Amino acid sequence: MGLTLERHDVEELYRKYGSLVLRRALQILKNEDEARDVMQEVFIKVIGHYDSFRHDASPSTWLYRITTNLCLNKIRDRKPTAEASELNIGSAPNADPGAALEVARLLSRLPKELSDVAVYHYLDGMSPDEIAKVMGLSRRAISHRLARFREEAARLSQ
Amino acid sequence: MTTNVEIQHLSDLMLDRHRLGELAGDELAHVATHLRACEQCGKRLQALIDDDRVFQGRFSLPELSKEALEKAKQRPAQRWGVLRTLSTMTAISPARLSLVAAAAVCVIGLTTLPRILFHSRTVEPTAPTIRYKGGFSVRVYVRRKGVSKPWVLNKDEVLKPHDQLRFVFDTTQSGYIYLLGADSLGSVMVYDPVRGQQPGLVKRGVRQVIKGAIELDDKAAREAFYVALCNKADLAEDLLKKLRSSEAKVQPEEALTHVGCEVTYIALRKDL
Repeated sequence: MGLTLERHDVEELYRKYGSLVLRRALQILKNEDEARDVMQEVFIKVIGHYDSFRHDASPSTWLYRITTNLCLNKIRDRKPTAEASELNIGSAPNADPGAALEVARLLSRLPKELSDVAVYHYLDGMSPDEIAKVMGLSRRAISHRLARFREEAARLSQ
Repeated sequence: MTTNVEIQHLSDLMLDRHRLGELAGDELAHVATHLRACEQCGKRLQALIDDDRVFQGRFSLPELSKEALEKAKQRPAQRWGVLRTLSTMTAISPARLSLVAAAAVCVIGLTTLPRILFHSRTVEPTAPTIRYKGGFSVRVYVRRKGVSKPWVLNKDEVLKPHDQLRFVFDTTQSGYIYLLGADSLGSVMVYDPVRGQQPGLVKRGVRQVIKGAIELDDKAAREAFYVALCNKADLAEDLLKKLRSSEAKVQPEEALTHVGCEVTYIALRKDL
């Protein structure tokens, strides 16, 4: 770690971004205990990667991406009996509730590179351009992954 | 599977970035224009702001750091998704990787978290004042009777004897920082970070804390604190001399000036 954080630095980060991280985790996990676990892990990552974090043009985007990844890991760690309906859907204005339910049902069965794109697109209602910025990929790559996701979803639904 | 793309509302992430002041240029213009026209996104933005207020009232950092430490110690290493990926990539068993990860967690925990848990444990400001002038900002943290509490310091804020103040700086340019204080009874002081323990040279973009607190005495007076960002070291005596001879100590609006320095101040009132 190139820079040592003082306690008030961590507190300030936590106060500034804590609600964003917790809300994001709750949106995906719909379980406060798990969401708070994820929040702890996220801030431990922030402490460990503070140099890159503070130089990021958009710390919120960095946190959003990390939180999403950790939540998806947690979903994969869940027992397979978890119901899709446990996931919080429809809070984002662009979200398509039907599609979001389908995504929720499939999350634990899909490769990670497809599930995170699907979460951003169907749960968050983000456009491919916005997802590309969040993930640091090209728009073409995002469109390709969304197409692959739809294929996988269709295959798994049969 | 279909998705509604007729009306592309702003995502929560974009609204959060707007709320947190991270947008600029085209993005900011786009969001501002959209918010003026879209009631739904306006309501969503307000919901995020309200959500943040609720969060501020519900959680505290000690809860975070203690739990984080416990989690770091107790969490079974094989639950970490990164281990699965690393195991696949390196063909090393997850158990062996778990040991490496556990060691790393211990190192991080031993070197970082104790600082969070024990350093300046009693100073827990939550709403410090920010004074901007030119390229740097100053935050003032207040602690009273050993207890810190949410406190917005405004101009002419009433302080109490023995209140302790801490100062934190953010700068967009490098320079030497000096902290001076004066009260309406005529006493003046300077904290010279160069001669003190804190490095006087502050680097652009790096947050600096003046270690230790300034404790107010028990005389009713107007208090003014000046923060000077200068292009030279060893200006403490000059600044102090200037402050002694100026009207700034009783009329803080007559701001302290010095060639090569950018000065800002906060004026407060101390009642018995």
